[in-house]
Amino acid sequence: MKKLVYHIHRTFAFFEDWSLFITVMVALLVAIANVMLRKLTSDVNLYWSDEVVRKTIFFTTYVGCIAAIRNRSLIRIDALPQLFPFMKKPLTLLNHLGVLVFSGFMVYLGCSLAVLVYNDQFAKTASLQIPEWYFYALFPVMGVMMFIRTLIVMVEDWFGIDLSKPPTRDGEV
Amino acid sequence: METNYLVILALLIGCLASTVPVFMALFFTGMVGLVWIAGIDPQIVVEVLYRSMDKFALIVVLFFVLCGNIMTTGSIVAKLIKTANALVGFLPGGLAIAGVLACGFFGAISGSTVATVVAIGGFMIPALLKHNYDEKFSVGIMTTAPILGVIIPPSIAMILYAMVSNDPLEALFLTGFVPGLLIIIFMSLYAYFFCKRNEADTIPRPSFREFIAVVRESIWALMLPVLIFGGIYSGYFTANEAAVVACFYAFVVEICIHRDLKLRDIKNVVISSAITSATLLVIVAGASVFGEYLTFEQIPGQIANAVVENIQTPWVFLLSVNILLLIIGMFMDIISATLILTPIFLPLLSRFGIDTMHFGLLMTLNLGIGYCTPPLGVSLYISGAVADRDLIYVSKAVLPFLLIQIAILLVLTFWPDLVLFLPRWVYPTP
Repeated sequence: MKKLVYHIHRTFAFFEDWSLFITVMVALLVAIANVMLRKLTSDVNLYWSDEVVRKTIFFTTYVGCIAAIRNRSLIRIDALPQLFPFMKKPLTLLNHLGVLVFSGFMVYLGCSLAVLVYNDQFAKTASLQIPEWYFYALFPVMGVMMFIRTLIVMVEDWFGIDLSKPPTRDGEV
Repeated sequence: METNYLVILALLIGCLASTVPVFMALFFTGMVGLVWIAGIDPQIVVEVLYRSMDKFALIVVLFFVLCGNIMTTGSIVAKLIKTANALVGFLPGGLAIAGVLACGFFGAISGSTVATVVAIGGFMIPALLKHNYDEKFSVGIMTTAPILGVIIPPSIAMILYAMVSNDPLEALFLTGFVPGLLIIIFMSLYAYFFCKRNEADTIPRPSFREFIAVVRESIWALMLPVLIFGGIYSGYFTANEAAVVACFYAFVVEICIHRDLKLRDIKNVVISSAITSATLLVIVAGASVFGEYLTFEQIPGQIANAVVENIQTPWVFLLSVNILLLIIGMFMDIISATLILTPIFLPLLSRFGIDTMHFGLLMTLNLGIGYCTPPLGVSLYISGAVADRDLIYVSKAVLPFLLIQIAILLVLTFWPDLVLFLPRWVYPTP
């Protein structure tokens, strides 16, 4: 069980980290190339660069959210548990439940909207003509990943497992 | 209808208080309002989440966060402190003044208070104690001076305010320079007189040659704000382009010139910046859903009517808003508060004839002060951890500095020209 949790955690972390790294670097390189071309030449620019940057921001925001659940760094107002430490556990549970409900919404609503956009053959991005449903499909994917990631965090919290270290041979983490 | 508003308000406060992430609290509240109360198709809500992130202007947040992280991971902090020390370290209270100046320099690169407390406070508090500075004074000054991170541009809070208020970001940035300078001057003066009376250690005055050597070592770091602001205000770059160029410059300087950022660090810096940026931007998405509901029900207009009926003058309004924001700033982080409250306050500003840029600066300053206001200011906890002191000790330590900042806030509230002369001078209206 612990081994399984660890492997899911590692697989998710690999996807989150590398996809974030690649998209941010792509956005940076495309944006700097466009700025340089615009400033250093009189008539050359990458007309599609704005679109690439917008889509990478969209992607990094929602995938970054999943990674933020892993790091427990989503911004929240933790005034109550600071003032009343005994409320920390029930509030943490409530917080996890909130994320699970949100994930459910994203899967259900995201799927139905992605299907709707998929059926619209004209729904493509303006410059690169990428079908828009690719981006809408990120919502249900994010929902599923957020759901599983939150379950992993709950397991970490409840069983005191440290997933930053690999499990030992007998499955202990 | 009023019962519906109460339900929405209770839901929002309930979600926020029960530590549900801010963007989800806004999403749930907006969703309940739009779908269950206003009867709108729930798919519209997801459409709003999509459209709110499909904006080129958001690039500024990601790249200024990345730029700050590159410089923090590299050697910028040590170099900035060294330069500030060479400039003022020999004066009575010089090391403390150098800490304030370093916060100012760092604020011109990073846009966040917390980043400044961690980067400068973590370095300066032990250094001040080592030089026999009063402990309470040291903790107090290094907990409150990092407010310069959000006041001196580029400021993440101002970027998000400009997105909501549609103010030109380049002009809004200019409103932060005078308040930032006032905070540096008055906190430095307090440090000077306090340390003169308490006879803290001073360091010997560097020779001209030593000073030039320090500046030469730090020149690439010091050139970054020049590049950002020189580029923006000469009209060569937009703020979006400046963020991209600053990021690229920071990478080149730290990897090729300072050589303090190893290639293996790059991945971690980029990923942590993407996560930080995501935690901020996703609140924009949640606030867009909530804002959609507010607009649909015309709630800001109704609040504006109610406020105008009870408050007659702009000064009373601004004073009330200052008090309200200071209290909110104690409990809520600056980004969430800016995104939730700005759409509510905006319609009121035109009724009272208040400039939106003036208000943006006041809001940022108020909420920034909230970061170091007891009992829940985040900076208090970070400094307390660095100095190994409890919350009550740190809360007492920050009081004189909080009073200075609140006094500056009041001056800026009632003297808008002090804030606005710079943007009006650089961007004169025809």
